[in-house]
Amino acid sequence: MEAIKNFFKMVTFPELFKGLSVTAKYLFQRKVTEEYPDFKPSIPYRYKGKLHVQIETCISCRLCEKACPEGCIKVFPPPKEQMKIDKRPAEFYLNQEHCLHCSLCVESCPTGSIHHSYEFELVVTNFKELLFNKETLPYNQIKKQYKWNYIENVPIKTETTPLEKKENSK
Amino acid sequence: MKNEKPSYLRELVETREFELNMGPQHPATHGVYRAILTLDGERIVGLNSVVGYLHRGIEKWAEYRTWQQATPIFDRLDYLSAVINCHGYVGAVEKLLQVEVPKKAEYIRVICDELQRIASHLIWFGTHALDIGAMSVLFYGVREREAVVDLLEAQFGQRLLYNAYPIGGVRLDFPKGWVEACKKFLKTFNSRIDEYEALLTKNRIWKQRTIGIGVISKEDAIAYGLSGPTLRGSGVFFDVRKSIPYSAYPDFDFEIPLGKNGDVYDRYLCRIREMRQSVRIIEQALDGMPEGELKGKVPKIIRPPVGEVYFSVEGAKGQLGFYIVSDGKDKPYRVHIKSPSFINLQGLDLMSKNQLIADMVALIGSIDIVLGEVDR
Amino acid sequence: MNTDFLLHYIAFPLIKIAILLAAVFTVVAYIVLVERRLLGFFQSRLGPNRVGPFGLIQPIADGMKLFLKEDVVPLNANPVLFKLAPVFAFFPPFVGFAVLTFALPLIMPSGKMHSFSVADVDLGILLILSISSLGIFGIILAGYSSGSKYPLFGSLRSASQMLAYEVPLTLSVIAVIMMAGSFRLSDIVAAQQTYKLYFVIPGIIAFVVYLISVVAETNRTPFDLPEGESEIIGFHTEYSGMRFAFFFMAEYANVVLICMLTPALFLGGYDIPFVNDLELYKAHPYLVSTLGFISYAAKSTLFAFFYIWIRATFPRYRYDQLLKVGWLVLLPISLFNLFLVAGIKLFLLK
Repeated sequence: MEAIKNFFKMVTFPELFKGLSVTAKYLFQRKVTEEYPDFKPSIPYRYKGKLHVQIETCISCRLCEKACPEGCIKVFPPPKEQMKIDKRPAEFYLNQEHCLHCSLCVESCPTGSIHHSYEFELVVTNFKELLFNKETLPYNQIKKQYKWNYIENVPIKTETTPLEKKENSK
Repeated sequence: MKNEKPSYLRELVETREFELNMGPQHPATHGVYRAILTLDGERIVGLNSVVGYLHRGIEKWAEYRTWQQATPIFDRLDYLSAVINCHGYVGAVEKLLQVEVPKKAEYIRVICDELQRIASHLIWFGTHALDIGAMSVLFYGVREREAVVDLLEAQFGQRLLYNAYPIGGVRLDFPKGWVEACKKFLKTFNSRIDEYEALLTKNRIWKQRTIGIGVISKEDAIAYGLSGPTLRGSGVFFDVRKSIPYSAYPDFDFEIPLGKNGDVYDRYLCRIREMRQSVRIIEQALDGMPEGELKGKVPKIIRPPVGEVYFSVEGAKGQLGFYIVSDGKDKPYRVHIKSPSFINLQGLDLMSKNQLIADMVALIGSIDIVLGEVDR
Repeated sequence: MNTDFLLHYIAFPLIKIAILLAAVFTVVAYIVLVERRLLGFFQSRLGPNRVGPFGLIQPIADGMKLFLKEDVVPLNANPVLFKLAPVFAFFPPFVGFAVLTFALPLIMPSGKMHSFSVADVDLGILLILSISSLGIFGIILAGYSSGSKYPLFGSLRSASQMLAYEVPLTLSVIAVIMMAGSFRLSDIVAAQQTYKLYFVIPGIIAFVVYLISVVAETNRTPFDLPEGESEIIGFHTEYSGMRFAFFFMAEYANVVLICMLTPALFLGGYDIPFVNDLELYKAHPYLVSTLGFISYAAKSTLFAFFYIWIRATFPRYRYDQLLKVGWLVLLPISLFNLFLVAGIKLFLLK
């Protein structure tokens, strides 16, 4: 009896049809491709995108400079007399090219002026566009500021996705 | 297939062994790995591995950074399972500092580790099947992995290289809604593994390609120092989570799947069953999550006492060990990494005796090497 | 040399050849796109759909890219054979298309019978089988003349694989020929219409053997080790640009040829299923002929879908297992099947 069953299985190969049915099932299900430039993805709340710096709240403590493993941040504090009135740095260089997005600088900043934004499109054609000084530092007030140490119980995805979801305009 | 030529042919026909370069650029060696094969017809007679194409000097790099600053580089070792590497390094430093990690942090670490193990095994599954020819399985595996990586992205903020843990605990608890999303994923994942097994496990073509190929006996496996599913496929019970327990693993109830013959098919089954056991661990951890602190007491500038420590975790590929020497300063003196892929690669020479060239890709896939780990 | 001769023996055949070649080239170009999209759907992703609407301009873009690539002839290669090999691989399938019949013959207003095939010769099947064996030459020459080890491996394997699967293929086709009684393709379809029975039913073993052999003959998964993309790369490693395009088109032309040959042999060709009436044909010849053509196209499409479905699902066989299946399993089964079919023909089919 067993021999007949084995022989039958050998010539009609039922397990191959089972495999075919699995593949055929996926033929009719929803496809998971995200068609990128037309439909932007939804970003989680804690996403570590490009670094943004709010230079008004920076107190030139240089903790971020010490924390960065790659040496991407260089802060020059103002001279001593100006430190008493206005603590903002005289010069702030940020090298986005070597940034590992490890967020050690964000963790160590006491005022939360350096933080991650939701920008993930960092492609440039000339790498000098990724070197920022005090005037060209990116900071966009519309995007929600996310202070790593302060906000703990956050939802998974942002309620209002900062990137627009454009309909397929083709 | 008999290897001997009949005597009349041996006098008439002269054959010669030749060398074939399965070069650094090859779609099936998972990275830049070079194998110089000595072939007799189609049989492999000798194997010479050349590694080092991806050497980046990670161990030296870590000597010039402070203890906490060095954490991001260890993600780049086995870049497909970054959280576990981080756990290894951070666990070693905590052992040196004798810091007490709170229970809640340990549970969070276990959950993220097991999720990362599932993600790493899914990539292995896809690429192994793709090398042997079933191309759809790669896409199914990667699609499954999207769900896992989305969960980890919601917790850590990045998708591949997370810089997950600070020394002393974890940074943040899970966000709102994460636990429900994770439970929903786990519910569907078991039935998905059933589907993928239906595609491959009983398939006669798959069985013919993998049963009896690349057999390593128990004694050889232990003698060569293999670890991970490569070792467990030969029937040896050694898993760091059970044999040298660390973190919160003693609290959970799970099995270690073992193989019988030590061939490619057994290692494949081992890894598939490990994925199911990981699902079990995560379910138990989510149900029994304690309350408490997230981070132990760690000084602001970390200066461990003079000494050395060795700490190992169960990586996705095998036993990942960190040997750290400290001389009291704020930077490590020496970090040495025992990488499982490098040591498992020794077994390739043994496995490939008298196999055909077409089996080489099955063998490399079954050891599951990641060149970032091999070359550091 | 009157107008009758010119019209019926020179002009009409040339027009038919032109239409056939145009149609075949379009189908071969677009089956690549269909395969890529369908493979994507099986793998729960979209295939290429950005180049035109639904990706319809993709084959033109691919063709232009291959055309504009640099033409590299390796130093170690034998230049004459290297340049000759793609030609040998390319022309056999197109010869095979000339013998296929696409629809029921029609009687034109002038009174002559018009058949929908370019050259419906008496030994149609034999022509297809023998000319497609010439395709092996292209592969052997390509591998041998490339001057490096990987193509040599691939071409040797491919040659012995194709040889091994020629025999079961021929034996299963002989079963069909026995049942039909003639080598001519339109006779085979007519025999299926007469018996009111598609040959897949009495010759089910022949059908299964034929399917496996034909997948192996065209070097498709699960038998595509010589071309094995992720292992030993294959016999066309050193080819780039238009020469590679020739090999590529040759493979897909083979696929299309087999997709069109199988319904003719086993599934009834241009016969409309469940409607088999000589009176209907005499009353509305144009309608029945067109419907027959549509049913033939549908059967070919079904078979192509099946081909791609198999490619998406199964892993590939190792080389020695492949040859074992060919010589040790399929050959005895097809020999046994010959006796079976002979018995069926003698006692059951009248």
